[in-house]
Amino acid sequence: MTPISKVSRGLFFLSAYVCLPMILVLIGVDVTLRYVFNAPLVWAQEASTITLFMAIILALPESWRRDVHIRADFLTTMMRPGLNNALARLVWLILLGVSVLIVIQCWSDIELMILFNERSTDLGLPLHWFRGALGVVGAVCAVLAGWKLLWPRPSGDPVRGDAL
Amino acid sequence: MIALGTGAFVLLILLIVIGVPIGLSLIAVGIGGLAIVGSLSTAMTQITLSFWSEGTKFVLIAIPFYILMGNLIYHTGIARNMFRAASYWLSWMPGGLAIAAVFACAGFGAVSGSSTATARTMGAIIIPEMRRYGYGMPLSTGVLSASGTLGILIPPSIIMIFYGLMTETSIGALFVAGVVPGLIIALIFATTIVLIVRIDPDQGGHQVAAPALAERVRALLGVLPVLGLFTVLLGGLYLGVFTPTEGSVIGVFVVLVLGFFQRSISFDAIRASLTDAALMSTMLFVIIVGGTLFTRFLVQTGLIEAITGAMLAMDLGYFQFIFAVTLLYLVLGCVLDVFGMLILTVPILYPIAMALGIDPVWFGIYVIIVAEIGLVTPPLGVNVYVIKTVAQDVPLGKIFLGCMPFVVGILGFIGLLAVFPQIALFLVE
Repeated sequence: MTPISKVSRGLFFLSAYVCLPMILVLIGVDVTLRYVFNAPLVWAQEASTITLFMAIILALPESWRRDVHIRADFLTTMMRPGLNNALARLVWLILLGVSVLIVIQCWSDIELMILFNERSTDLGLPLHWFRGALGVVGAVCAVLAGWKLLWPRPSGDPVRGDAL
Repeated sequence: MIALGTGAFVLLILLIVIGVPIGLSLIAVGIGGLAIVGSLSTAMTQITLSFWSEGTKFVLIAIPFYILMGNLIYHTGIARNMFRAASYWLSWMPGGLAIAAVFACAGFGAVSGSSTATARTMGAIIIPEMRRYGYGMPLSTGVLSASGTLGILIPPSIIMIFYGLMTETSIGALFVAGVVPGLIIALIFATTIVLIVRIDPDQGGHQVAAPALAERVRALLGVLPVLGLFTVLLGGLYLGVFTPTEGSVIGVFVVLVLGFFQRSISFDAIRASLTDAALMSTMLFVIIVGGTLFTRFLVQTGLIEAITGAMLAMDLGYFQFIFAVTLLYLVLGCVLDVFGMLILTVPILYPIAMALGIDPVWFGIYVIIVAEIGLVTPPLGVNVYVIKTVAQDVPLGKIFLGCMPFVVGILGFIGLLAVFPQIALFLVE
């Protein structure tokens, strides 16, 4: 397993096995407190949506690595291997471009967010933490896409993702 | 500007058709378009803003948890109980096992939000049974592929959440509105099976001996937890006790408690369900972000406004518009999956439908039913490919052929739905 795959799996572990259960507990506790004790947690909704944001972005690199994204593959099954390789490279190239733009934008957003001390409404969490997390994930996606562009899979279906 | 919007639309379809993931295609064309109509820095700002604004929507939480609930139910073995109960009670009918398959799929659809999950889960259980009792493979595979579509119509439904997010329509109302059409389609499928077996008795297989009443009642008791869960979810939404998001979390807790009591759920099953939920939610999130960026770009080009204006200037009536929408979806269904179809068409069709005074909830139910036809028609027919994995010896052509009577049934129903919109709306109103 390549180092970038390890990083991707690590981020995914946080997403699926930490963030999702955390949302489950947060909303579960909030609903119980609201309906049973009439005392909802005012910050639960914000905490759960921020955790959802983290869950989704942390799973992004692994979703690309495993290629779970919906695509119309009726043409790719008929394409010659050379064309399929070219298509795979195009996909990684687009992902690389988009990811680099995300990283650059996050970097400039963070500066402004710190300057204006932007915080979440209920919990008062500094929002630049989450923009930073998006930037890190963007960087991981960019490295993953770059890696796939430079060292494509030598055999098998180039469009398919890595094994689960 | 309109020419730019049209060109971008064509480029987007081209990227999707050649096999670039739909979400990535939408993001790339959206960013490119926004950079041309504004500036690169505007486009870049929009990316991070869209990630944050879409990713922190409370209603989005429903997606991973309804997926999680469906996956957990798959691991508890409740799906097998559902088919057993349905077959015990319906096996006396001509094509009884096939009819049982329809209602078992409807039952599974009531706790799963995904069409392919329904087809995959029930297909793996039911097709070997139908084969054992001598049912024709075109009927067996066709009925399972078609009945899988009930998974996205009978709530909870991931695609309804997706539509609700795109159009800001009440997801609770969409869930409630999907129940009656889902049940009617199940009845239409059952009638279709009876007709097929009457015309070609070979397709019907042998009669299954019905067990004693006590055994049948016991089988029915085995599906009570699912019926209870569905009633709690739908009742809670209908009465406004909780939101769809809270309902998804409550559903997961109920299934977990049930699984622990029945000792039918393992740690590995929970881990696999969480993995699937995280990956599927991320995949849908990329499409949602891409759709947001692309729609923002299209709005700036004026293309949506121009198309809406042109359609209204043509003085299209309600039925003409609905007919055009149906044709469009039937064509798109050949190359795109349900999410792809909705993300490409709803931003354009929805404003026209609203201008024509069509109810947003009804429109959502209608486009979802028409779009789901694409799940069982060639060449894409996702459900057919899913069923093919559990019936590998059956040629794809035969499975598609087996689906055709059910497609005719759905087409008949959408005609009925267009004439009597109250079929979907009377529970909501």
